[in-house]
Amino acid sequence: MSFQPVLLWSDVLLWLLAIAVAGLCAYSSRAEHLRRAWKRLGKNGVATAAATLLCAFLVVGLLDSLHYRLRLPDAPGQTEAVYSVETLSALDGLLTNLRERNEKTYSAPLATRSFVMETEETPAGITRIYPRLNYGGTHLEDDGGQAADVAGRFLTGAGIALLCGCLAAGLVFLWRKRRQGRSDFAWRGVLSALFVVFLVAFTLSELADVYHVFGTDKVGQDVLYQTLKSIRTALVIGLVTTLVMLPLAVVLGIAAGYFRGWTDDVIQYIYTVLNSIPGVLLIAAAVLMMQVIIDTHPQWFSTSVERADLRLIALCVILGVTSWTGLARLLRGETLKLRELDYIQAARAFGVSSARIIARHILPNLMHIVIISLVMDFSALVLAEAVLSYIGIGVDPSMHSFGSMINNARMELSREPAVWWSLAAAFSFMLALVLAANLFADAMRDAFDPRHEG
Amino acid sequence: MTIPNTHPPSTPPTKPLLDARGLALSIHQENAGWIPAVSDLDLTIAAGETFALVGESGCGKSLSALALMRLLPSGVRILRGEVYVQGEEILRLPEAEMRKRRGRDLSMIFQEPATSLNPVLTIGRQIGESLSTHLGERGKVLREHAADLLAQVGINDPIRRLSEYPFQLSGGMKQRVMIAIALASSPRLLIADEPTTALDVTVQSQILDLLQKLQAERGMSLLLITHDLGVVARMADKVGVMYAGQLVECAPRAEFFKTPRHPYSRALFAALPETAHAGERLAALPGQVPAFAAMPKGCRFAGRCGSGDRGQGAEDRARCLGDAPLLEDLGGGVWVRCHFQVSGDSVQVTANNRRVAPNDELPPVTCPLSPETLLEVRDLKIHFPIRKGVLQRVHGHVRAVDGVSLALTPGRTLALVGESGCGKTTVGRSLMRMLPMTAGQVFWQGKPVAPNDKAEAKTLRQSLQMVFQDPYASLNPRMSVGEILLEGMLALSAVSSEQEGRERAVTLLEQVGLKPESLTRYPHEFSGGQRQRVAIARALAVSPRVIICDEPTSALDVSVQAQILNLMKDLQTRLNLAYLFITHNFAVVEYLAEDIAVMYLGRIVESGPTAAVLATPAHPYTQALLSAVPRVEGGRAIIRLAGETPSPANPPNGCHFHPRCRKAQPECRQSYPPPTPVAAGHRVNCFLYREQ
Amino acid sequence: MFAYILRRLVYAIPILVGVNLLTFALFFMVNTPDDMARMQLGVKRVTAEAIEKWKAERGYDRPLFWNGAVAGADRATETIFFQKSARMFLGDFGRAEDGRDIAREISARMGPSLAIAVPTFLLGLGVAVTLALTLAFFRATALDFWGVVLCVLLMSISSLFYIIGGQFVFAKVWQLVPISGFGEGLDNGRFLVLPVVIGVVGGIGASTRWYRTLFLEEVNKDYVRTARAKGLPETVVFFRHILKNAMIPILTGVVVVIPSLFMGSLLTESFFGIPGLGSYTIDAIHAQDFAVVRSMVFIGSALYIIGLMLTDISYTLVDPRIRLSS
Repeated sequence: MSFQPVLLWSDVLLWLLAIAVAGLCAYSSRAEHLRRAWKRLGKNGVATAAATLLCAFLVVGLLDSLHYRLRLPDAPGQTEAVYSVETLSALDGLLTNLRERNEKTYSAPLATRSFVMETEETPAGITRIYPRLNYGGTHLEDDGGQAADVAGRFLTGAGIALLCGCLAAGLVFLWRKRRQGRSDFAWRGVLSALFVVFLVAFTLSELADVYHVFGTDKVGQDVLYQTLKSIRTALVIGLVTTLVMLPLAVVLGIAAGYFRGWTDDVIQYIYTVLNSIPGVLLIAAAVLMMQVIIDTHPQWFSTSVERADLRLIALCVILGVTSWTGLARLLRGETLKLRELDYIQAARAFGVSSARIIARHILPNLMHIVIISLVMDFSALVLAEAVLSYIGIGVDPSMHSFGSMINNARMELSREPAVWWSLAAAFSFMLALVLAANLFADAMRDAFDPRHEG
Repeated sequence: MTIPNTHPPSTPPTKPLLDARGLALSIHQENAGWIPAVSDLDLTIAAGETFALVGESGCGKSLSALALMRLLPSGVRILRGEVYVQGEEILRLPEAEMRKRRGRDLSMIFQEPATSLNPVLTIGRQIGESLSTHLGERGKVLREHAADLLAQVGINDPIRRLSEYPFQLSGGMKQRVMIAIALASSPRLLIADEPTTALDVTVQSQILDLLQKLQAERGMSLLLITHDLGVVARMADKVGVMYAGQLVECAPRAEFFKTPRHPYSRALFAALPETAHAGERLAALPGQVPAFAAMPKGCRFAGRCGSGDRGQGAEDRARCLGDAPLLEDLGGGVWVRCHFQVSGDSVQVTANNRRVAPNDELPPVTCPLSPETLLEVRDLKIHFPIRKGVLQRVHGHVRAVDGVSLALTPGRTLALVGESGCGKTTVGRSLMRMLPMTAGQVFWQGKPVAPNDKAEAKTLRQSLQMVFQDPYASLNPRMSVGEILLEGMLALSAVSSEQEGRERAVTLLEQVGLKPESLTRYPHEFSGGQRQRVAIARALAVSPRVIICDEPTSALDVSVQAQILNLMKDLQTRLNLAYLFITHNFAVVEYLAEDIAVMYLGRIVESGPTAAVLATPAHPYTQALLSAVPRVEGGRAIIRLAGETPSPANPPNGCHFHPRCRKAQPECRQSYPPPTPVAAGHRVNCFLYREQ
Repeated sequence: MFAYILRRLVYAIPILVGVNLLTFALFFMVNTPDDMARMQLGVKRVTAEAIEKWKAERGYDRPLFWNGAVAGADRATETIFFQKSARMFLGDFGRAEDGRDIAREISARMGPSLAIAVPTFLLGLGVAVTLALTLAFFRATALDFWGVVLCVLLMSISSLFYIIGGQFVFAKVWQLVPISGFGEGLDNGRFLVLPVVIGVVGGIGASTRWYRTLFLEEVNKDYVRTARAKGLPETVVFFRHILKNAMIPILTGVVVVIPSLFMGSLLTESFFGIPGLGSYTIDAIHAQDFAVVRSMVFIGSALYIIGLMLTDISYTLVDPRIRLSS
């Protein structure tokens, strides 16, 4: 085999989550009330557009979660295969161009020359010039034709995007015709978002072939590559955290509301204590302690990627443990109201066991709160990651993330002239991700709110 | 112009105070868009007149009233029509002008006094707002005027009340405050939207008295919206009946009660439990009101109409279905929307139009008839602790139930009657073990039941089931009807397999008059009455011997109530069930129950055979309660009770009722009267009957 | 009322004890002082003596909970728990890595923190309530729709961008205000303008949207219909009836954060170089100064608990239903 698959913890969790989400959708299409809610959601064009955009991000994130190590060329007399220490992902494989074409230092987006002057000895003497880049725009003889070249490539990309967009629209049209317009699913949302995704993807790929579309950073690494790699980090933080938070919140919140008495007292005490510690500080304290553990046990990790990965997971766990209280409080309150309702009283009159009452009566009636708050938390967590990484208690510095990009970019703005592109790239991708999540959450809240049920 | 008389003979005035012509409203629905709701509504109300608009829930009567005030919620709008108030068209007035008319020309009071007052503003502020807006009053003048208004609506100590907040007042007082607000700037017309529906019957009586008095004093017109024909009989000069968004009949009160013309009006009367004789089936209307989104083309009532005196042939039927009737003038102020309106006074609700019996063909299940007592409770007490202070120590108890004894026998119904807060629901719930008993003994078929024995608890659970008041809250919206029915059977192992359970569920659905397809459907797909049928089927699923019915019909319209009462009676005969029927509605008691127990403040004050208690009520409370119930036939002298029920946390010493009792004697303040027999099985807790 | 407050106070103590135990467990039981010493000293200089010396300097050479080596009450007091955690209740926070007294440092840094946090808080609340009222007043119009879209957009931007972008545009490009710093007296104003404005803008999206929902929830209540039926103008209905009711959840929701204003804002202070508690905390986290982080956790929780109590009290003050019935 020319490569060896590497299974990182976060890969496993992310894929499991993706499958779980798919499973949840399948389940909810069987549960009658959830199906109605999804249908309402499907009618909302903003929601379908946001969902399409989120799916695009998810695809990038999932591609980046298939890790492997390449086999090194056999040395003479070698019997066993030797694999590179560098762990790559499927996304890295696709983006080999971007990953490997490193410049010396900063270069502006689409530039052909370096951002920093260099001293060059020419026969005429020593001059200070902006040297041509090693990779960016090297196909051009003369960098005067750069603007025309960029425009041409952009139009090509846009053309392909238009073509693909039309193709998708055609498919949708055929599908609807076959279903004879029986569904009022907002395809226009999907199609317009899809078109934007195509446009961005194809123009970027056309341009990225020969340019650094978003420029390069201090050590000459392509910013577009960093941005794409950051998506996975954001997704892992946003999704895996809920995996920790959800069971805690659901179990403890419902238990407190249903059983009341001392169970309620204990759970309320725990969450008041956790809540009373300022969130950032609690996370900081926990992360600092985790760092000590990781630093004092270097033998646990075979590669730096593994160490960074474990740190990421630990961060998710810490975020999960510190953020379940809000949802738990909400669920407790709702459970307190639900348990007094006549249908639960009736179930009790039949002697139905508490576990069954919770599973059949309480949980299904709280599902909408859980779903809404999961989606709402996602964007909050993505934003939190940036802040935490800035403070230095976020992901491992070696891991690409929006937070570390911003953190690095912060000093660049004070340069003269300012280096703005790292920040701009991180800003736009992060905004797209969080905005899509927020819009989706908003639409979801409207669709799943039981007050809208007829 | 003003006619200071509570029931003036309606003299046709030259110019009506309110004249609505062709009012039509449409409402917005998520899937259907804007659909017509109320159509062609014509209303005229003369000065000083009381017009009662009657109809079942969803018929559009409240929306019409809000449209007159131009206060429609955002999902409803006026399609067309004209409304003249004192000769001036108001629907086309600019909003700023309309605002000046609101509160000054037209005022409105609402059904829920508890939510209709702003919780964080004082009473004085809320009355004062109206005075300062319309009359420009300020400061001391305003305060005195507000206090005067409170005094007029019968609130004691008005100066102190002005600085109080709504939550400090009882329900009846809140409605009085609402009336004071509405009257603040002496409106010409008061619209009262179900003003007493949320109140107890004795309080209702007080509020209706008040409205009549104020109307007489001020010569005000009153548009009374209600579903209660008893209230109509007591209050109205003219009556309008609405059905599915249309006025179907309009007549002077006397004429209306003597000869209801429209088949729907007649069906309403026939469905009243009080007009039926005990033991007879109620004439329930089949089916339900059509939804606004699916209004039939022809007569909107055609689908449920079975009693057109002449419209029985196929040709006539086709006319009803295809051709929408118009509101026609029959003379004498009577208008009817029917192709086959009754002209004469020969209306009789005949036996053949009392048609409801979805399951007559099912054979009666034979149960061993046992005269002996099934369930007996002695001296039941349920106290809730009141906690106060730093350490939350118990500072006394709410004595919700304070020594109640009951006995239920197979095939018979015991009605537990009382006003809200008397503890009747608490009794039911504690029998179901939803609440812990503080004291008391329970006997099942003569044997004492240990409160903590698990095996006995299970038998009791199976033998004792409950039907709840609110059919919307008593079915889990997330479970299909099949799952709901199966749950109890499986939990109590009443069936051995799910398959058997499913078969039994189908039988049960047939028993309660629902189709087997309902099994896979969800509660939101059913109407209130159908849901209550499901709830009854759920209770029957485990073959109980006793069913505790907690106001099972009070959330339903009168025609649906009749269906449910018929069903319950059928089931009782067939299955030899014992019912504990908890209610505040005497009409239902009269129809359904063999025995009655009247509760006041946690204790039973009078009990006995229904006929005896209702005919010759002994306890002053029972007498007052019975007299306060508005009757269709009217004509009963009302015993007016002062004040409202005290808090069970701090009941009065001696007889709990003595502070409100007109016949109270010194000893009533000293000790609680023991039960005294007044006739066979008829017992009363009152010192008045001690000597007998 | 008094009994009520007293009861809340009594409830607060076990929570503070819980916080204390939790942080103690996090800092001293998950990792031993030896681990911390090793990390602080760096891998190269690690020797057994160096670790012991490091621990002794900081008083970490005692046992965790129970000191069997000494006699009397000292058995309980000559422990890490008592010296490092329990004494926080007495206001003794020990010394930072640089040897300074933490308690003194905290009291010196509260002023600058408040100078930023209080104006940000008040201005933010005022602006958000005003905007939310405007949106609710014009509900279901284009203004409302685009207002909400703008809110969602604003809340989708990371607070880091507001700060970095604001500094770049206003301080660097337009040079309206200094990039960072903190001064004395009136002169201080020019340092404070930008962080306060950024703080307000950064929080406006989320809070405006939240308050708008609260207002809209009130709009459909029965008492509003009553107020309209009286013939009151829409503005009076809004400002007298709806605002007063919706302010109850808003006020009680913000009261809980008031005490925490002392803690300052981590990001703003560190970006703008304001010598407050926020930047103190960040510096401590960067320097891995456990003593300072622990102290800040303790103070933060104490302030939050005070906030909870203030919330309860404010409920009783603004809501007559609670004020008059308890």
